[in-house]
Amino acid sequence: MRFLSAVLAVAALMLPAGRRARWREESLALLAEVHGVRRWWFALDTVVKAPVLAGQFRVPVAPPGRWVSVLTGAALIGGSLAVVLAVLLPPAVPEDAAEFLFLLAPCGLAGVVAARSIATARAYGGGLLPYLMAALTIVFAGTGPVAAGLLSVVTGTAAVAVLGAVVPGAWLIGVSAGALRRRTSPAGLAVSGLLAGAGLLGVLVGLQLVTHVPAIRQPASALTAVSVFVLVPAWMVWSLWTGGRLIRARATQRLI
Amino acid sequence: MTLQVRLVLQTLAEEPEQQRYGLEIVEATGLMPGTIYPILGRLEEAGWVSSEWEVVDQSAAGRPRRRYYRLTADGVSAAAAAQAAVSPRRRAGLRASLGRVLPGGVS
Repeated sequence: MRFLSAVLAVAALMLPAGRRARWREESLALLAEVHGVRRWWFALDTVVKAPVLAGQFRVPVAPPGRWVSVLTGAALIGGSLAVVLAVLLPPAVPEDAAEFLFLLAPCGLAGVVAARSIATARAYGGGLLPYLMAALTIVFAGTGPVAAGLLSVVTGTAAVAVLGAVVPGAWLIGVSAGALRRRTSPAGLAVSGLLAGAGLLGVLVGLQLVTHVPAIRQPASALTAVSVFVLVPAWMVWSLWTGGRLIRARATQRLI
Repeated sequence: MTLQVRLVLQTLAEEPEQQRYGLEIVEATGLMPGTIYPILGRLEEAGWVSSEWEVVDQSAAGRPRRRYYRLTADGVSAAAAAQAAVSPRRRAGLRASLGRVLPGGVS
């Protein structure tokens, strides 16, 4: 039971501080009364479903302040325009500057990811784990492939870059699917977010696979090409629409 | 109201004066512990269920104390309304289906 007690203590970090002790003690009491495989099965179920309970304890938090909202919206639109400039004005924009703009563009998402992740961490009661999750989300989803790429170079592990490439698209898909399900944003915006997320996922993962897994270079290239066709229009619609909403900064409106 | 919530309410409503703890509810409903805690939490938040820790000498009992749940007066009414909303035939069908699907079945 000591091991299970430790596992529950770690899982309890997902819950707001005031709720942890009771959940842990109650769960442990139940597990103490069952034996064998059933105990492990129940323990797994209890831990896996702890986020459901954590979600239940979420408290509404105030939307970000007006200037935070305006700045994140401006950064999002600015990031998209930077790519457009880099693509449309090759003679006017030198190659080095274009490369810099391509690197900078995904970081336009960072403000939105940061504002939303911090709000989510606060809604989950704050504490170490929610803020740690928020920090990781900001670093890996908010900077596109930049942070994962750097980490991959530092650690000399290609898998880090490939896994990191999944995060931004997966974040956008998750956020947009949530907005569509809860109807917290217009359906068109949520659908464009889903498509942009899928496109982003395909492009970033495809590029990493082309670079790091030569054996599947051809299908990876095809994935990248198809994803670009999805990403470009969907991203423009999503980023301009979301950026505009953020710049308008209506208090009653959720972040995305 | 979801089927799982109805099952928990039905279990607690069978003998409203009797308190039940987590494992009893798990075994009576066939639901898993990770499922019943969020449900019990929501019911408690809504004021339909109240709970309290068992008063027991844990070293003498040889086990941790249990948390006991019982329906409040509001919960009894809500459980009755929920059961009335489901026709007896459908209820029997749902319970039989759950018995086949859920671990441990539904008693």
